[in-house]
Amino acid sequence: MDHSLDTAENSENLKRFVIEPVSRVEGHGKVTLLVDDNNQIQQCRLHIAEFRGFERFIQGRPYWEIPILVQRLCGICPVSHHIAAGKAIDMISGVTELTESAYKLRLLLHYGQTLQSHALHFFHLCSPDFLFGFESELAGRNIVGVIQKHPELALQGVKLRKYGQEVIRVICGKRIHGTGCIPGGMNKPLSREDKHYLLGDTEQIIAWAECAVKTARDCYLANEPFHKNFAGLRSNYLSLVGDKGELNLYHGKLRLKDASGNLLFDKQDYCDYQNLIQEEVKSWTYMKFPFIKTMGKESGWYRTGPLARVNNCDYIPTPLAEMARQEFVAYGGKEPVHSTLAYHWARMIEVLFSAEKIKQLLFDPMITGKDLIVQGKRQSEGIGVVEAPRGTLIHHYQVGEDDLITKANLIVATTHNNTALNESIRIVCTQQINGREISEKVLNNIEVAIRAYDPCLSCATHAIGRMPLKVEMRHQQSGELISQLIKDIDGTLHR
Amino acid sequence: MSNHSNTFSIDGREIPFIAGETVMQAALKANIYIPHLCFNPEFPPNGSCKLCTCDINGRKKSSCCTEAKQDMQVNNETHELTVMRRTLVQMLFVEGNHYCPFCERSGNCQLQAIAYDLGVTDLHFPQFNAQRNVDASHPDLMLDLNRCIFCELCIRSSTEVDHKDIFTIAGRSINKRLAINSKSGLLKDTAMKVTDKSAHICPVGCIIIKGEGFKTPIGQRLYDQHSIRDLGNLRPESAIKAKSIVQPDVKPKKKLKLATCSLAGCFGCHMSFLDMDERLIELLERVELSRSPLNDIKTCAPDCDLGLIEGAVCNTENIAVLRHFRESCKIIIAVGSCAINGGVPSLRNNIDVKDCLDEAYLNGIGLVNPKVPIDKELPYLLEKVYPIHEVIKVDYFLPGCPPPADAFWKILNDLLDGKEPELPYDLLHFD
Ligand code: SF4
Ligand code: SF4
Ligand code: SF4
Ligand code: FES
Repeated sequence: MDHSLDTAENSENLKRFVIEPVSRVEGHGKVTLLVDDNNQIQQCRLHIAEFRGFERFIQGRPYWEIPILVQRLCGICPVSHHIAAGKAIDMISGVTELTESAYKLRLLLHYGQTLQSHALHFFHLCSPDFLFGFESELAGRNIVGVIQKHPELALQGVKLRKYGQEVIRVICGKRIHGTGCIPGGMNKPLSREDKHYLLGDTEQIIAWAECAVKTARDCYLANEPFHKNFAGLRSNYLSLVGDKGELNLYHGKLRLKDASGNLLFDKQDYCDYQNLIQEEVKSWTYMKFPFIKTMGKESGWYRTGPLARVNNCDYIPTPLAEMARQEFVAYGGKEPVHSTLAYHWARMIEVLFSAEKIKQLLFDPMITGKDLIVQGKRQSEGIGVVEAPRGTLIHHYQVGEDDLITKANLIVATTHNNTALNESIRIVCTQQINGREISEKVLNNIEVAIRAYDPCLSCATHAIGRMPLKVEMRHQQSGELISQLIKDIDGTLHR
Repeated sequence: MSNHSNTFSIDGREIPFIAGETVMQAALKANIYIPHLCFNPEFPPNGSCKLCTCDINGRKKSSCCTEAKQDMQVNNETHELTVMRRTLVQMLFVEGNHYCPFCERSGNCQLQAIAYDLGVTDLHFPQFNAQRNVDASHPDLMLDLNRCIFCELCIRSSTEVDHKDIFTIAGRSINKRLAINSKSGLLKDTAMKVTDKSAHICPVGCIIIKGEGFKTPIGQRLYDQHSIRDLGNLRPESAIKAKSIVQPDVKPKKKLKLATCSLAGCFGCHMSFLDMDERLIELLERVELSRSPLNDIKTCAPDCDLGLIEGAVCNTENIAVLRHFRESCKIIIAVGSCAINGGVPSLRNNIDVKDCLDEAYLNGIGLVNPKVPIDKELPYLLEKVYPIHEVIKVDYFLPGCPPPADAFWKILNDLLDGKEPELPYDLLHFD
């Protein structure tokens, strides 16, 4: 890993360039470059310059309010936060298994969301870079340009996203920030009319999703040698995978692969995330840098999101997406696919998977079931993890006896990718920019690399407060608790 | 004197009354809606909210406290009164901490419903950021005093129906608060039960039954289906129609130059803008996009017609962006609850910023190199989060969290058609 551009040795005599705001991504970020007289870049950083403090201010709110409140972290994938918090709140209400109908409704909701978020990202935000070139004219390099030059493609993208948003609307009452997950289940069954309304378009959506995979693949392969190395990194990959090793975005166990594709860990319960992940703070950004504890910060960083998931899973449980996955894996050969720009290809494979999954679920008779709520015995802690469109999303809450939140910790998908994001833009600096006159067009290369990750800088600005640490020592054979040590947020230790 | 000879007029309509009845009581019987919050027909009037103020024989009086008299002239639906009532509602909102976007009473709340009915789109006044408590000590009930409007209905019902006298008002002016009559001051140390009348009387989201929140889906909540007026069968013909997409029949007069930005917000408002779906294509033929996160233009053209601002103001950079927009755009529209009243980001206003930062970056566990980020590239955080109208002049407000796509469509088309933008009732939401 190339840390040399993290901090310039002597910043006084360098020229500063800034990309602010980073655009055609979701949320707020900026990039700064320090450049010497020979146009050699000496420092390059992606800053998250906003701070919101969610974990602090939701303390004191009642737990059932949390899924509705925290989705306001992010208007692009609110459903991910809604569901991750919903799963944590289920656990707090002592519910380990939802009714079949509630579970399937949640799946439908989550796949609707993945479809809309991925479509938005590719068609509305990133396609202009591929259709017109990374250094094309600024004026046309956006969705308006796509509408003018490639109206059919633009319309398909718009309609794919619309369909995903409609799935969300019929379940949650609104396309953005509705209500659905309540403790132990869902607040409304899917009506027969809504089911038929959605069913009407499934074939068309799957067909468009297949086109989307082709478009993303062809864009990537059209200029393969260049795209392969553009911001290219070798990294570890983290994601949830289902019980049988299948791609599963709603639930599963954590798997980590190294750059050669070897399993570093597998089948890890996500409730243990605190023992797996640590985070580094740097003074120039509000976004932390997570890494795998046992590996250390130098080599323990990893990537999450579509690329990680498609690389990590053993198979995709729907036929068309599985075929697309096999082609993707074959392209990678013996190793996982590392190209940063291949994120787009993997993302469209997930669009196809989501579209097929939605159809399956709509044909499932349980999807309109009315038995939607389970009750359990109240617990004091809950952890909910999902694979959000951008990667592994962790929500963790503690609740007092009075039902109010006492502690919260959220690690959002984009934060996991922080090191990779910074590394990618530094590689772009070295490969594409060094020595050149710095112009708006040249700088777009940096944004192209950032966009590949589909970073949700909106989520990333929420800022973090960690949970107290709990160390448990257990008997090796019996698993019995021998002793425990608890370290509170203020640093005090007790047993 | 026989009863039927007793009449007075409201907005020119003759209304019968029985001697001793108030104007409000007589109006209710005659299916005439006078906005009210602290009045409830089951209890004697309290006269605290003043929303029911009417023009009575030329003087402003609360209709819930004024006895009807023969030949009285009452004006209820006047522009002047609507403006005054709007102001009262805005004051009630800023005096407490009302976060409709995630309030479980949203859609079932009378304060919110009256605001919709009066067409309130913004709060006009600076936020108070009052320090109010949540009392969740009771096993079945919760008091979120942030939302109390001091209507005293809980006090009246607890005393008169439950015979328990649990609630009282303590303190004065800005320190006024609802207090509990128990030694500890906590609800758990009272005889309050979830079956008490007072547990169900609160017109807003202050007295909450635990664990019931959000069970009514959006679309099926009381005021999703009926306006607060319609509930008295007062305007049955105007019951909310199914959400329709407003299609303008007038073609645009000119192309507008439009800029958009997000300050401290979640991007949901921008996403809702994109939710115009295919209509976007039509719209983008008629507007020219200047600076926006949707393209790569990073400064506003100096002659923008329209600036849409999402998000609240939380740091120095937000202020700079906002001023840049104000200088460049003829019309500024505050979009969404964050921009209009601070929204969810302003939840941090009752907490010390240093506290927030320390918790996040110093006291965390599993942190390597714990320190609070500070760098010349990071803008200064403001002590509080502000709605944008507290920083620049705002021309229009588009409420919601986020506002529905149809609302964007309506307001943009009104402007394109050179009309004063207006939101119909069914597009006005605070959540
Ligand atoms: S819905 Fe809740 S937050 Fe909104 S006005 Fe009513 S009580 Fe206040
Ligand atoms: S708690 Fe509710 S009923 Fe009681 S005074 Fe406050 S707003 Fe009125
Ligand atoms: S108003 Fe709501 S949707 Fe809009 S930015 Fe704020 S939180 Fe997001
Ligand atoms: S209803 Fe008359 S003063 Fe409140």
